[in-house]
Amino acid sequence: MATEKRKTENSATGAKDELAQAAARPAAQAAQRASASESDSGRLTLDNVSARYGAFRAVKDVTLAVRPKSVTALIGPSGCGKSTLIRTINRMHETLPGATVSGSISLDGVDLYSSDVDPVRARRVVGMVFQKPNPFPTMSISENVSSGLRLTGGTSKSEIAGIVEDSLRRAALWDEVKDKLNQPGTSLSGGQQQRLCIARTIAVKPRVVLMDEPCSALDPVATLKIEELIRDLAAEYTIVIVTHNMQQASRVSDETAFFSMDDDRAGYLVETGPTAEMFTNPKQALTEGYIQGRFG
Amino acid sequence: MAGMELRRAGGMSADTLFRRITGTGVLILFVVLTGLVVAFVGYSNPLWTIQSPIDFLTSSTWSTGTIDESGQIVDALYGASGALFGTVATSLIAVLFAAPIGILAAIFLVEFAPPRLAAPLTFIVELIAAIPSVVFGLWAAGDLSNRLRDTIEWWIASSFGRFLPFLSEDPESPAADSVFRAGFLLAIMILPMVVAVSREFIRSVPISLREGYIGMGATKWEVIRDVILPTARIGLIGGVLLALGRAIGETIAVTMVIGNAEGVPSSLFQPGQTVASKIASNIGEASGEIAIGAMAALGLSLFLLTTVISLVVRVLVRRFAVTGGRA
Ligand SMILES: Nc1ncnc2c1ncn2[C@@H]1O[C@H](COP(=O)(O)OP(=O)(O)O)[C@@H](O)[C@H]1O
Ligand SMILES: [Mg+2]
Repeated sequence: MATEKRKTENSATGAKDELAQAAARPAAQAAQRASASESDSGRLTLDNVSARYGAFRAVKDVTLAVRPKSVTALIGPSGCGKSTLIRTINRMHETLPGATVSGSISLDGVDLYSSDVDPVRARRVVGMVFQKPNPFPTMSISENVSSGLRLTGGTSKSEIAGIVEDSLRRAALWDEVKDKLNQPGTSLSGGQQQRLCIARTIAVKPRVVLMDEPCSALDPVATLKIEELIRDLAAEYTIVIVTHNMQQASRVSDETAFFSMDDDRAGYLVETGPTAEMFTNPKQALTEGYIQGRFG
Repeated sequence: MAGMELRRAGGMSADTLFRRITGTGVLILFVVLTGLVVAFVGYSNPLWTIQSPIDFLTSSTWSTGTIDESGQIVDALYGASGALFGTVATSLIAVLFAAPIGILAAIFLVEFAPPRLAAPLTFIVELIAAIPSVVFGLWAAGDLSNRLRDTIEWWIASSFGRFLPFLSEDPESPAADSVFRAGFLLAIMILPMVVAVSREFIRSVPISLREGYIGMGATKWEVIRDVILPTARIGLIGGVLLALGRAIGETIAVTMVIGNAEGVPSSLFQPGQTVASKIASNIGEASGEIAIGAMAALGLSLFLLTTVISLVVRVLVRRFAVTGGRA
């Protein structure tokens, strides 16, 4: 299995404690990953992806293979198109006026941009967690979690209750909210709100979960909780996370993709590789400079 | 000298000055409000020497009475129920039409209209809002009223008039003026306000919430239904109630089309009057303490009605604000 192989690679190169720790996962999770069927495993392939805002090209020719059921971190200087790129994966980019995408992005062999793919459905398979926690203020905690299920329809009330509990447990939030499921989601703390957003994202069982700087609005304790959660979720979901925090990238990710900007401000992929390697032994001088500067 | 830059400047600080200016403004408002209520209660007092407020609210007879041999006014009765009915009916008709149409128009402006279309449309809305009510009145009295009679009023009367007497109309000789037409005119007049207020509140729903729901796999319609309308709900209700307040107080245009008939009309397609139109059309002839007192009582009832609506708005806003928008 590709993922298994990569795991051994990771431990082999994981010089730093932190990195080795990040790579070591419970055996049960590995087994689960191994048993997942290949057809819906959540393998993402970006091929020559460019994204524009009107005439301005914010992302240029990105080709990237994302391993299923692992965490891939997108890092790079501010404005290099990380958010733009991640938003092309769930077809969110095109919802902005004048915004276009070229190239192809496929999920388990299906081109997400082919004409017979409904972007609304694509977003149920590729979930997204945003920079700022955004629970729906008019919905209760449990309604927030069930919002996706209710959109899809066909789930009975009792099933929904079970899925709500399960999702909240997986998002490590259940114990904190089980007595106030009917209170508004906005009554929670920032970190809890973000875990609520994660719960509502995984409630619809997506294959991919995108996270755009999910901890940037949170304090260090809440950040650690979310990072632990991301590691746990990687057993079941392909996770792509944008982060400006190098420590976070090294703690949570298996793979790291480093982006930079050209003179025309178009973002491009500099290099990608196992996180341990990227942080200890990057191939490109540009990557090394950025990582050293940011770790400083 | 050290600490020079930290020393307090002489004289009154800008904050203090600002607080006093704004405080004075509030004080003036308070004085005006109190003065108005006190004056109206005073004016209306003579009326209560010959009849009770209950008679005023429940009777539909409005009679200045006759003068007997001894020069006393007898048999005067000032019942405002017809006018109160007209005010409630016209403003509800206005809101019934203006609220859904206005909110839908606001949704269109914010969510669907391309910027190149939204800007001129918004300008047109502002333009309509600035048209003086007498112009609307003239339009209605001249042409619009008859058109309404021959179209929507006729349609409602012929569809529902048979089972609902209050919506019936004699097709051979429809009334020259009607409560319904006044209400519909009010709908047109308050529409820009509903659109403008709704538009602001719909626009203020954060993009992060819209994107959050789109990211869950929601269509644009689902975003509007489940996120935008519920989140903007308080503002939308507030805007409608604000417009309702305007409809209740609107005077000149209503006076020009409602027919100014006494009593409670048997059908919405009959002439009637509102409290405001009654004041406008009766104030010229009102003479003597009692008749003036009756006018003041009408004014007070109008004031009371709008106050109740403002209070409802406040309670709504507070209640929803505390619970983060949840009922
Ligand atoms: N809505 C938008 N319209 C136009 N340009 C945008 C928009 N959002 C981002 N950009 C531009 O696209 C580039 C990439 O932005 P972004 O993807 O947010 O970068 P990052 O997430 O790496 O900081 C920047 O130059 C930014 O100014
Ligand atoms: Mg960003």
